[in-house]
Amino acid sequence: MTLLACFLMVAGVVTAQNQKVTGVVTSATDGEPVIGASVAVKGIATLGAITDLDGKFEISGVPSTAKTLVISYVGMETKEVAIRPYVKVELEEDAEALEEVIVQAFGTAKKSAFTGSAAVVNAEKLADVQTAAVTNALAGKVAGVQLTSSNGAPGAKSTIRIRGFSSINAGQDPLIIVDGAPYDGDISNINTADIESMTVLKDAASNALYGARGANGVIMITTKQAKSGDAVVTFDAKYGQNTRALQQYNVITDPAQYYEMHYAAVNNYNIAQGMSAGAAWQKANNNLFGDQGSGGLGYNVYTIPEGQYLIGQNGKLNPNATLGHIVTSNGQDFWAIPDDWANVGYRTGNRQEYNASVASANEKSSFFASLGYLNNEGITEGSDLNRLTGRLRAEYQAKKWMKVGGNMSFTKFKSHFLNNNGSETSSGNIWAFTSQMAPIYPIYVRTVDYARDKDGKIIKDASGKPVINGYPIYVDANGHQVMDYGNGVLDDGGTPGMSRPFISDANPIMDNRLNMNENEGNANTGSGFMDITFAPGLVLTVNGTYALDETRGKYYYNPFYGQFDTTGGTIEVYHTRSYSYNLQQLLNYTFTLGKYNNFNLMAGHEYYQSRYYELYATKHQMFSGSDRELNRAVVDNAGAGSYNSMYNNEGYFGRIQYDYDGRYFGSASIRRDASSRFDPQYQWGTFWSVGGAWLINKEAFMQGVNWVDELKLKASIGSQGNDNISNFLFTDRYSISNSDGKVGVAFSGKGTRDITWETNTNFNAGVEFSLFKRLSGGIEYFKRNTTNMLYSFSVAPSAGYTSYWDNVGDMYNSGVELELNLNLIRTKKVQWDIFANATTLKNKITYLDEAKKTTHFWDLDGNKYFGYSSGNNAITEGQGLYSWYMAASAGVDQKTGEALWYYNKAIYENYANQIGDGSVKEAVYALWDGSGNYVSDDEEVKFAVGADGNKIVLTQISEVKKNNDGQYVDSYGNVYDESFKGAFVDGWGNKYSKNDNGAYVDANGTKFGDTSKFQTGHSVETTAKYSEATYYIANKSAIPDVYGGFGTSLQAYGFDFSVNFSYQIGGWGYDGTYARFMAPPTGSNAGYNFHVDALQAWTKDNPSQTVPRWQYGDINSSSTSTRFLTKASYLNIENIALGYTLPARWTRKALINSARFYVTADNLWYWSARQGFDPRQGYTGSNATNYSPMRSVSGGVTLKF
Amino acid sequence: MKNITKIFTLLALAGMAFASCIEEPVLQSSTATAEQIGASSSALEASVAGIPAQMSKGYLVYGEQNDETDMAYPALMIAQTELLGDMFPLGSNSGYDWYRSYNTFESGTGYQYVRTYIPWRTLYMFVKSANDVIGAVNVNDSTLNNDVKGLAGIAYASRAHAYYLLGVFYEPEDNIYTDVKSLLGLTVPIVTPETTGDEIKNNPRAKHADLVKFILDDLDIAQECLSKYKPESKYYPDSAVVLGLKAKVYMWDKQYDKAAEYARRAINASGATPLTAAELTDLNTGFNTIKKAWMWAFKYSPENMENLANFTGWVSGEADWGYASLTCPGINANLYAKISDTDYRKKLWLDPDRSKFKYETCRDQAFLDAAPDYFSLKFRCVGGDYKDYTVGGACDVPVMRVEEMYLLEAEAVGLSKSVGEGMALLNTFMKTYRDPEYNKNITDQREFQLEVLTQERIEFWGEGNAFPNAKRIKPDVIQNYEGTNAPNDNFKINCKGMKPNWNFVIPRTEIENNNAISKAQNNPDPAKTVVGPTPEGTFAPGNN
Repeated sequence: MTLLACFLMVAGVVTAQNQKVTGVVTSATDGEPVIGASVAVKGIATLGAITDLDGKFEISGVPSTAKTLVISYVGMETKEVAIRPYVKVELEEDAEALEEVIVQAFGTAKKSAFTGSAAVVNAEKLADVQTAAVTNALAGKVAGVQLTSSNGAPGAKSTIRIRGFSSINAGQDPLIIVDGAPYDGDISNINTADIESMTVLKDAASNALYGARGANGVIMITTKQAKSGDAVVTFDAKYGQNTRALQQYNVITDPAQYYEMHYAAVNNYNIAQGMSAGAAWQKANNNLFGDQGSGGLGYNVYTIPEGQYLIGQNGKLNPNATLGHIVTSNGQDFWAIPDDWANVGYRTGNRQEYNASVASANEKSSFFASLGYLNNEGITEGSDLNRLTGRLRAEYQAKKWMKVGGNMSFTKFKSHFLNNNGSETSSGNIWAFTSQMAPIYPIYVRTVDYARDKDGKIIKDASGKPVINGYPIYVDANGHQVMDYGNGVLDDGGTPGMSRPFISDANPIMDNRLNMNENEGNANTGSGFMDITFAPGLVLTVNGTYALDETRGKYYYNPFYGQFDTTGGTIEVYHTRSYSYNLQQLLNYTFTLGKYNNFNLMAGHEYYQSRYYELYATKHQMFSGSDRELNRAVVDNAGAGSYNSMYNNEGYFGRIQYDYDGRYFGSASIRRDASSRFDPQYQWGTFWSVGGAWLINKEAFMQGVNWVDELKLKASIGSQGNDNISNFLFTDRYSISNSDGKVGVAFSGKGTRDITWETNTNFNAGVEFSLFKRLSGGIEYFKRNTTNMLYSFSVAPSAGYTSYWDNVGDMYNSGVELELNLNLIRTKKVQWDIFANATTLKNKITYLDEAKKTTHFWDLDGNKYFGYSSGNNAITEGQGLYSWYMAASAGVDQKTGEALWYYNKAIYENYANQIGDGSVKEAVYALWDGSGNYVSDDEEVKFAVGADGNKIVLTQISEVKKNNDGQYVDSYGNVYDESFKGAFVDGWGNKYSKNDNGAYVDANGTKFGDTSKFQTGHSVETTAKYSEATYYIANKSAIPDVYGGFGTSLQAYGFDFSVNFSYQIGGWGYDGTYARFMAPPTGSNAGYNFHVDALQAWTKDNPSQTVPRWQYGDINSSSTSTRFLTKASYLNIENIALGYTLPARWTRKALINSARFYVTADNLWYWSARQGFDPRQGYTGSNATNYSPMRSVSGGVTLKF
Repeated sequence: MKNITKIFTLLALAGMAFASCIEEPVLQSSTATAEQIGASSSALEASVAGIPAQMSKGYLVYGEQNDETDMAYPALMIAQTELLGDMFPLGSNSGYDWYRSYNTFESGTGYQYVRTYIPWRTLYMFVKSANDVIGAVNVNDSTLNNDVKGLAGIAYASRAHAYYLLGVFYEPEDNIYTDVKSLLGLTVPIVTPETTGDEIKNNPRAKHADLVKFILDDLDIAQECLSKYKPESKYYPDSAVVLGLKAKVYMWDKQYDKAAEYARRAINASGATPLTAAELTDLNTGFNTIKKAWMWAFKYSPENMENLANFTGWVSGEADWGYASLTCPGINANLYAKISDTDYRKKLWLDPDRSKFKYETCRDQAFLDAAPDYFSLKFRCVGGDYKDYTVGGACDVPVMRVEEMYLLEAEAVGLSKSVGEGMALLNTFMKTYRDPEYNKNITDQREFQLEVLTQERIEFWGEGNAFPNAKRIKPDVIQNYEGTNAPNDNFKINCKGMKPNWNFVIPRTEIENNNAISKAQNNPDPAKTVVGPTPEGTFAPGNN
């Protein structure tokens, strides 16, 4: 506005005086020229100028009466200076004007007035991050936000958890809002360069208006729009490379050492079977290259002199053996030699990204347009992302009372991706091969190329050996360089006669070269809004947003090798359409009562609907391997289909915001929502919030305290809902299938009619401060209570189904967040900032429904818990969501070398473990008596002696019913008189009745199976039988004690440098890959690589080792146990960037306002408890067979015009 | 301004009204809601049609590729054959035989494993499907028409069949390797449409006698319902099948006289005659297309098929799409040696002396030459199409063949009347239909039983139907002997009596969610109770 006024003023100058004033305006912060500042002559409205690209201005004809110049610029404090012929002005930043604005639900708020908890990541912090999915950039930057990712592929997004875990079974992903509307599309369709800011809303006061779906936190993404000023044209180009960031475990790389270790395991086994040393040695050698079931590895890659063995009696490789081995099949010779699978499987991917944008605004309108292109190659073949994005955003003040705007984006993408990510044993997972393969297996099938004379005869040397030219890779009839499928059949891609036990008949690297998984599509979004001002302060906003993503996908399987070779090539084509729209009507009224009472009232309505459509078909028998369409295949696979799904929700809401004199702030909101995921009777829920803040620094008593720039106390509480479950869980579901040409249906899922919203009640309290104009930050305490938890109840599978949903269970997350920003140096030439954040998190399940307490657990200290198990986690009251539950390692039996685990003898031997409702969970026929003496496990002994010396019956309770003969009998066949009709008896005829709680009690009210009578509980012993091992609560959680990030940025003399770290301290991860590498070979598991730690296995001579004996067939040696729980602390360099901005005085000659050259690196390195172990992959464990995180290093240039 | 206000207020209200209509979603996928099914007049018919479709459904339990043995009824057929030690993976990639844990005791046999979970869950899904129909029809309603009653009869027969298999698999039999003394006579929990959710949480293992009675009651109802209803195809059990099921149940319960009676009645009622020599070895239709001998079957529809989880791909080594092309399933050489050269069935497997028979294949001679000895040619690809699983694998799968009734009858008569009379029946059957030269004179009852069992193991190789009888008879299981074709040490085991894994283990989810079955009341985990190789000529030592 000021600028425009200046233009007008300049245009309107009419004067004949000759005094000329020139000068330059610079910024006090960095000394750079201020472009476009207005310089006005005080008192003469028609006289003034604006600064040029060098910050210079010139005003002619200034009357001598004029004494003062007024220099102003948006975001800077207006300054008045005396007129001289040459004026040099420094403008200070305007703290008030620059005050951060928080994007909140349905509007914005000044940071100082904001009562909730939110954190902002702005465009500057995003500029150097090389991610296609912008939410990945949150790592380490925002307190309370945790990111994990089990897939490092281009475009893959991380899993985000804000302030812990809201639910056990329902979804925990935060709601993503893009420019005010929910966004369910692919986050990597949004160009990072188009984003102005990401705001993470964490507490009820900020989330509650998203009541419906805000329970997991909200991430609000705001796209760029022009700020007032001259048009700014930005161009950015960067080019770089992606490499593997996951570290390789310390595994065996020498084939000789691998054979020796495998041999040692088999030899130890043979000796344990009672063989003599010589026989054991011979047998182990004889079987070494044979079937895994007999102790073999399938392959021999050594040439061994006739009549000798590969491994000598000393356990070492025969010194006469040489690497490489000729195998003859059908008169043809093949060469078997190990390859480095990782070397062939991985590549260095190229990454290039270009972004251009134009932004301009004036007082009536603003305009932003951008174009971006990203080509990102993954670190294996067949994984990449190619993306073209465009955006156009414009706003226009059409009338004084009407403002309209629109925002449109278009994304065209094409990506290729891999299969079976994370599966350790999948024949289709490249990572399973590259990270786990023993170093003895060839990746290629190789032939032997003999030197021949002109008649084609093989030339032999003096000793009669054929002269060999080399070992070319075998090329098949179709011209493919054949990779080894490990199946022993040349036509199927195998080295003849060699069968690889490690995922045999598979070579995903070759498959990946010949096959194709592709997604190609167009996504576009559009939104429009209209603000109508009815009266001062009364504004109606109507807006609508839609997002459409049409993707066409293809799976192509080659006709040459692999699973679909016999089909003559198979092609599956599918089309998916994701479509969603959102409509909002908001009425805002802002007014002031009296002098100090400021109000903002808002009422609104929102409707959201999303639909998904899919159409697919598959055919086979194709003309050639290059055909990639259905019409190029001739045989129908009878696999065509289509379906669609719909979800919608609707909400009405209102909010009141109040402040008194800018010192006391209050807000309250309410929202009522319906979700189509619930039955119409149960689909509405009500959510609310109240919050308050006190800006202490505005108080009179603080006026003298100059070092306090801002001090705010705040607190909020409120509730939000979570409906993140599948559709139709409220009703029984049936699957439809073809039954000989007719429709057949079969039960597929149990519904629960009355399931409804899960509720999260959030409390937040904290302090925000800014001191000495240098140190700012905040400290907050939060507690999130989840109630009415949406729970998937497991059912005994004899029911014919295994689960149903219900709203039961309570859990909380609590913690403290700390954020600090410190400005160390702020001079004209040097600016140095440091930031750090830390979050503590405690997660605890406080209430489980009795029906969910299907079993009980112990920890090693003898504490008992009731709950259920979920994989390797126990879900139980008093423990957290990610509490490890598994066999507890008890070390190594020093005598036998076997792995030992703890087991609770008492579990098997106590009489009856009663679960909460008094029904009996476990009843067995033997126990400890009152003196702690073991009674018997004889079947006939169905009683034991209680503490009081009385016999106590141990059989289960049963109802006395009339049988066909008219007698009253229990289920054990005992006969009773009629008085027992309908009674419940134990095996000794003691009578019990069912009380109101469903418990069986005797006449004295003592519950049947009351364990208090017995010597029950916990008696820890060790066992070498894994099947006997008790699964214990490990009292170790995957949740870290503290997590967060820190970093620094430094600008000096045109250079800029920044580094960002993320970290996590505490918590335990399960290192499954390490467990795999520590397992000795077995009959069903051989050919996996070994960790060097396995060399430290127990031996008779060295019985104190902590690694169990190294013996073939010990299937449970490294079975899941606490032995492999590993400290999950880590430190990761998220990003390092170094840039240099050329001095403006040079670049301006080329009409360039600024030119910055930079190098940026993502994911440079991480430190963890064990080389290779990556706790960032998730809460359920780490796995090297996931797509590795990528390290991206790029160089680039940013030009601004 | 006033007008503007009015206009826009109206517009805004209109906008709100327009948008304020939360929509009820309508399920439009391969899943239907109860409401949608209920609205269909042919709901009952569709539910019954769902029964055979479910029996062939790939990934029935998990709904997605999770375990390759998750393939409904055919998984039980293969599992039972491998339990008997009659089927070995003979190919160079024997590691792909995911069923091998039924043959061996390496791992994966405990209550927490997938292989333990799948059979239990599969059979109770069958029970649930039958229960859904049974619960919807009151068979005592005198106004019911014969068609509706017939549909209910099919469900009763199906449920009886599922519980019969559950009973056989899970009722522990005494053996020297695991201690089941305290568990003898315990079968499985009975779930009916009337069983409430609370009862399912507290549902004990039924006693043998109770389960037998329950199954026979079902079969009585089925018999009544099917007396005036002929199912439209052999994909549904008819009244002859019900008689056959009764024969099997009586056999399990050792009521041999009744078993003999019902087996004979089933033979007569079915009108079926055993497969002919030509039918047995038909290149294109061998054991993949309903024949006169078949009493009950189900089929694979291409639309429901998975390329890996299907029967042909698992048992037919000729089929090039599935695991069988890698594992090359074949017969235990020991069992093969018991088939005389004049037996038509001898041609179903590759004799080590290949010149003995002229073998035919849909592949080429080179394929046969490369195939291992004892390789099975019993189950053929449909129409000889070994490449396209949607054609070659779209087969019919037998559940009950009349041959089973003949063999049952022979044993039952031998036990309830005299060995001589039983032997005569066996001789007649074998001579007439299988081996013109067959003529044995066994007088010892156990020897006789073992002979019938041997013929059943040969006859139902890959179909599994010999397993229930084996578990009752408890023959020694010999997998390591001179010349064994067991692929590796894990398979080379000899068990005295029966293999301990014949007592199926109840899965952990049942133990944890059904309060009436404790861990101690589960059948013991047989893992590593027998460790291969057992030296030839000996038995693995018992632990018990």
